Amino acid sequence: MAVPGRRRALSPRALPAALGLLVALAIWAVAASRWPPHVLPGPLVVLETIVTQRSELVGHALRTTRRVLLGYGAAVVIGLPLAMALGARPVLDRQVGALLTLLRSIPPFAWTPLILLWVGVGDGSAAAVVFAGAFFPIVRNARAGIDAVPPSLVLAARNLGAGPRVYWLDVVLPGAAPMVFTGLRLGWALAWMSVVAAELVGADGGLGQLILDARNLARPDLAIAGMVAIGALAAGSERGFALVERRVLRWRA
Amino acid sequence: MVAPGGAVRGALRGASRWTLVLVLLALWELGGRTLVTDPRTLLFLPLPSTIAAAAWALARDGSLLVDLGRSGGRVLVGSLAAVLVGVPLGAVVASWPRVGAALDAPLRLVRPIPPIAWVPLTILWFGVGELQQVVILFFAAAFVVMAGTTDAVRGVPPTLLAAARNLGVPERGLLLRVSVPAALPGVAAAVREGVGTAWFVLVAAEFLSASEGLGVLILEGRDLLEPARTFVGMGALAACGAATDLALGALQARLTRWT
Amino acid sequence: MSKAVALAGVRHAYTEAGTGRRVEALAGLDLNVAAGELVAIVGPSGCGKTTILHLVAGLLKPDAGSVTCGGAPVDGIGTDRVLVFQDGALFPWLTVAENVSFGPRARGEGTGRTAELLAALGLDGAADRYPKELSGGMRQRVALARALAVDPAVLLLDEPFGALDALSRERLQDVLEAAWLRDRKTMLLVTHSVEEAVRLADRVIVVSPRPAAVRADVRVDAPRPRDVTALGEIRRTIAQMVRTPE
Repeated sequence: MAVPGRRRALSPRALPAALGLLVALAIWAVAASRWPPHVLPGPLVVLETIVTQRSELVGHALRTTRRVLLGYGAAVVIGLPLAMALGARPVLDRQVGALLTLLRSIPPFAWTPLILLWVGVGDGSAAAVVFAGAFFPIVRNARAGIDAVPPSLVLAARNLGAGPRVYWLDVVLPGAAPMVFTGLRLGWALAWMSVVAAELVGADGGLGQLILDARNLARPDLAIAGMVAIGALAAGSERGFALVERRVLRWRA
Repeated sequence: MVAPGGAVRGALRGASRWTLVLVLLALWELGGRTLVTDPRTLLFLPLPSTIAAAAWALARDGSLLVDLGRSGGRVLVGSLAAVLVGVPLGAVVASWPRVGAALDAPLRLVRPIPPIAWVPLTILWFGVGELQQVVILFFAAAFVVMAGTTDAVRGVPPTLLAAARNLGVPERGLLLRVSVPAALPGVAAAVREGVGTAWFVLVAAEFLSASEGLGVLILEGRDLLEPARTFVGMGALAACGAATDLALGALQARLTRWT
Repeated sequence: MSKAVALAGVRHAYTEAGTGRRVEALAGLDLNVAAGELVAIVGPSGCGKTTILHLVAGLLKPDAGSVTCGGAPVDGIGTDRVLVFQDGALFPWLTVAENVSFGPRARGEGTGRTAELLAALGLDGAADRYPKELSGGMRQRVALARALAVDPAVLLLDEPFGALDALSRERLQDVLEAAWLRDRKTMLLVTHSVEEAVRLADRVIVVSPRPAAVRADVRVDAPRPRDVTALGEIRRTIAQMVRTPE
């Protein structure tokens, strides 16, 4: 926060944080010096690998991202309208809700053998696993969001003459938005977890495969490079999400 | 007092929500028996009765129990380790800003990497075996528990601490008498989330390097061309995950009766 | 445009949560409000005052008797009988101006009298702010403006200023009186504060606790704008009636 008249001071935590990072890097480098590079490569080796292999990394990253977007997109396109339908029809809500509760407990990755059986190896199966991961948090939170709209607001809207269209679009949707976003964020995080797991088992290309292959080729530096790439993608996109959320929900107290 | 008739009606109402599920199961069974002509289709989607029979067989010969025990044991050990490491770390990060920032900085960089991505490296370092499995689960759960604990401890209202100091509680006692109880609901929630994450990651971890366990059971279905096993494994996994979550939820509610 | 409100022989009971008992909120209540009158309803907590408002609003149906507005029976919610709540119930995702114009826009009428109302209620500086940025007093002004924007025949106010500090409350009372003087809408004001009732109303209805029944119907003949200091006598009389059970 800028205080008028004072130069912007560094946050008191910046220095210890930087120190902590340096210490961690140092520990890594020391540990790496005690083991051969095909077991534990040091930070500089990894950095070099990232730079030299960057085009390959980008290629894999694009494949993984495409699968995430496919599966996640499907989860949103099916999940949000479903949540609205459940919110509107109590009978549907109870019955489908029970079914979803059952299916929700199955970790997304557990669907993989079945998906592989039905769909075969490739982008589709990885995307399907992503869907299985992202779908449930999205639906669940969106449904809860609809319930979370304060009844007094619903009443006020009807009192002021809101018809069904205005009710759903201008009252329920914005009212549910905070929880919908929570679900979207959770779903996104799970989508990344799921895609890696799916790629580790059966896909061609993609960062997960890269990491697996790297291990088989005794190239842990490549594996770590792949992991850094995934971490960066996941963290970066999360940041993007947070920014969008803050803008859309700028009215939130 | 709710009249006894009301209790029965309530129970029936609660049970009625499973109607759709039961109808779907019935359609699945009947459809499979009558409509399917090529037996190979059943390899893709075995009938509920087949699955039930397989479950029974696996339970009887004890292998289901073994798988359950193995998987459950891994989750237990991994979660315990995660709590023992994650909670104190999280509390430290929240309570001492400088030290916390130093500790947290490298961890924050590592956290976004999905725990499953660590599997190949851990196999390289620890070899295939129980230790490697537990390490992955520990990793997955520890980050969640730690982050949740940090939030919970940070969330203790400073007015509470100020009031306690005012009433004469010594500085050392503050942690135990104020921060811990105040942060307990958040920590309990974090532990519950951590265990849930462990179950999540378990399957992937087992897929790649275990010889026994529910994840292995799921895989066996494909390898042995007995798809019913896959379903049994999935069901058992879901049940375990749900059961632990329910138990932890009850514990959480109990611990936080005052909220 | 404003209409008269009448309750005749109204009975209403509800089932108490937890015990399952039937509690009679109203047992044959009669109440007549002429078009354009500002009537205050006072009484101890939980005596059914809010139930009366909800019946007129159409949220509840009487078990017996009739509830009419402008001579026609009340049938469900409508924009002719608008409620104003104690917590304002503003849409947090809309700005002040968007909140106020919600009703007209919902009916496809554009922004209607929004600008005019914002000015009249002292809100034109805050048109683009979100509710989270407003004080309690400002929020209630917005709630009032929003209700007035749909030009209701009857305004139903449920302890609208109860959550405000004393200073804001006084100011909002002035705002409400000014609004009434301008449009002469029928207003039913439920309030805890006898002082507020006497300050604003043409008539003060004292309601006795459950079952709610009209205990007294006091005319306040003082000229407007009201001078609170001159109303001490009548305030004391009414307060006495509210305090002591029959």
